[in-house]
Amino acid sequence: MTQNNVDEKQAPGEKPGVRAVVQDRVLAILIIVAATFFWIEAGKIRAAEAQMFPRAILILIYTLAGFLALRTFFTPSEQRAPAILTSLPAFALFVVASVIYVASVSNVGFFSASVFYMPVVAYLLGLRRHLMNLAVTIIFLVAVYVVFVVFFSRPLPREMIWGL
Amino acid sequence: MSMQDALLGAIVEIFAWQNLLAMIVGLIGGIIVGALPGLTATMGIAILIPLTFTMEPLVALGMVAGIYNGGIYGGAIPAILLGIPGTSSSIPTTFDGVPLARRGDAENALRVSAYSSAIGGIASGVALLILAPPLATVTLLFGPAEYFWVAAFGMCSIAVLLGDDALKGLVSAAIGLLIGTIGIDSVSGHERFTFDVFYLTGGFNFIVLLAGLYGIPPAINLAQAAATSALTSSGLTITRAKERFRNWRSLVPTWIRSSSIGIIVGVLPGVGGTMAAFLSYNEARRVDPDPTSFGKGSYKGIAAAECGNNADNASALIPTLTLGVPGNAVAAVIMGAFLVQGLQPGPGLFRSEPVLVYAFILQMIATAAMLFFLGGMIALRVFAPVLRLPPALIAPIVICLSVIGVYTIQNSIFDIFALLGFGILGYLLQATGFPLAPVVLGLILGPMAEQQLRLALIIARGDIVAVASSTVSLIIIGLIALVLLIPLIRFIRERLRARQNREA
Repeated sequence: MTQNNVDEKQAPGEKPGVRAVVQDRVLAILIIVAATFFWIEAGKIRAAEAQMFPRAILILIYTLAGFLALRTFFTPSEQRAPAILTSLPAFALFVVASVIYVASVSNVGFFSASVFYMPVVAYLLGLRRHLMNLAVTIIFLVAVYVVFVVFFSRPLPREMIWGL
Repeated sequence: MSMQDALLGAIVEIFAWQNLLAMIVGLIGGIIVGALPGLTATMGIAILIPLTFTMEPLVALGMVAGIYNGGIYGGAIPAILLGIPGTSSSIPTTFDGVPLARRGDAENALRVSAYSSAIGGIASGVALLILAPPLATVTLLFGPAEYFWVAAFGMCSIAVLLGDDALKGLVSAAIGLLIGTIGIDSVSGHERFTFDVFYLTGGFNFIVLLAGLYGIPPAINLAQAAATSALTSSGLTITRAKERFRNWRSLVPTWIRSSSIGIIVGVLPGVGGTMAAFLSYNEARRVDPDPTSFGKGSYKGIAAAECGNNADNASALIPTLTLGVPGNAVAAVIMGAFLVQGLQPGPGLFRSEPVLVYAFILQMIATAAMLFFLGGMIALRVFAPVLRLPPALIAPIVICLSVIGVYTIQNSIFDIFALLGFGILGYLLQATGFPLAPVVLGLILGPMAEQQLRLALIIARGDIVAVASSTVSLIIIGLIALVLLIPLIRFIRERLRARQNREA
């Protein structure tokens, strides 16, 4: 399975997280808070018939979150959940770089942004094979250009550098 | 003209070199399109339609058949090699494809997926050829209420049976349903949860959610693994399988079961290949003597998912060809391909253009059969080297591919920000034990379920009891209740067992 499930056994090298019951209680509260926000917003929908389905879903979410919280009182409290982050610096670096990249795509274009984003992120993540880094970046971007622009004629954000 | 005469004429037609070339080009193009996250068979065919104006009808339809079969199969390649499903119907392929690739059996996994896709596609084409008119009548028994319950059953069964935690699975499905309500209500025309943001009025495209949930979290995991050296490039390198998979006979029952599921699901409008793949996977796991092997690198898991989603391909065209009602998005686009050729799909088409219709059905079978050769070869020689790249490079490549794929759907910068948002949400959900597949299923089936429920209520003049009164509805409701009881029974049994252990 792709999902990580709460398990009392940790995989080798995996950092243990908080107690599973604590995590589930916090999650239940967060879900209820989010559902309440959407419940209030659902009240702003002008037609009553259009409110019906979202409100039914929100009632379902409240019920499930209630069960999630309730269940924690019937499960062993010593279980540990897997850690949410295995490397906070890498997570922060990657997410921040990706947000900057996405913002750059709209301003300088896909190819202009990608030609910097790909090798820089790979370098910051520890790749020191510079030739491979550059070669893969160029091959990848040429392949993207051929498939998306030449074959499928998909319009892309205007490039600042080449005016593609 | 009798059916036999039409079939003979069709066989002669499809072996013309132009038609064969069109099928091969379409198939290869479809595999590439399906393998690229963000691009789908539907998009590939939609883009192809303007190019087919000047082609002979059968050449154009041959290319369409190739893209369709290739596009659905192509989704399995990144699902196995990168853990990113190229199409939503390949999501269950990741469950066993990723563990197999990680232990060096990607080559075998790709071969099993290609053969299973081919068998599913051929079975579906044969079903379309033989069973089209009688099977199409089955869907006539389904009204809006039944469709609503079918959607509810689909979501419940996936949420409950797919993961280890049914409760979190149901929460995930509810999150998907809620996301599906964002945008303009299709019945009343009122905005819902748009927060005065113009881009939200159209709602979220499910490919944005799909690419976000399935593209970004693996990239974040790869980035963290690269930084901590927990995952080296050698761990991702595809090596020639130590032992070539030869136990094809063990997959035969899975192929038969999954083909049957895919064909039946395909006939039901609006349900689609994603549901076929999930149901096939769950059924294979349920009947297997060792269900715990599923999700850990089971060939039967890959065979079930790929056979199931390809067995949906041709059968999904049954309502389109016989009733003129497209059962899903790709069928609607294929209907467009018929219309540009001046052909009106529906009951009259089998009478007015029998050779052409049968030739198209044979093209569906032929392109599925070509996957035996082209599917495996392309997957192994072209896409497998992707695994040789170090994770530090794969992570940004996945982000770039997802960004370009999502942007090209509707040329929206907002979509790529949404992609990143869904990606971070997906990572957090996954890290806290919530399965992602029910979120996607909730978004896909939610709008259909709501539309059918409201239609059913209008027909029943607001009487909610009437929505659940038909025999078919009651049977489906019974199945839903059964599915929902499973985790409760499991929980009580675990509690009793724990108590017995303590007392012992």
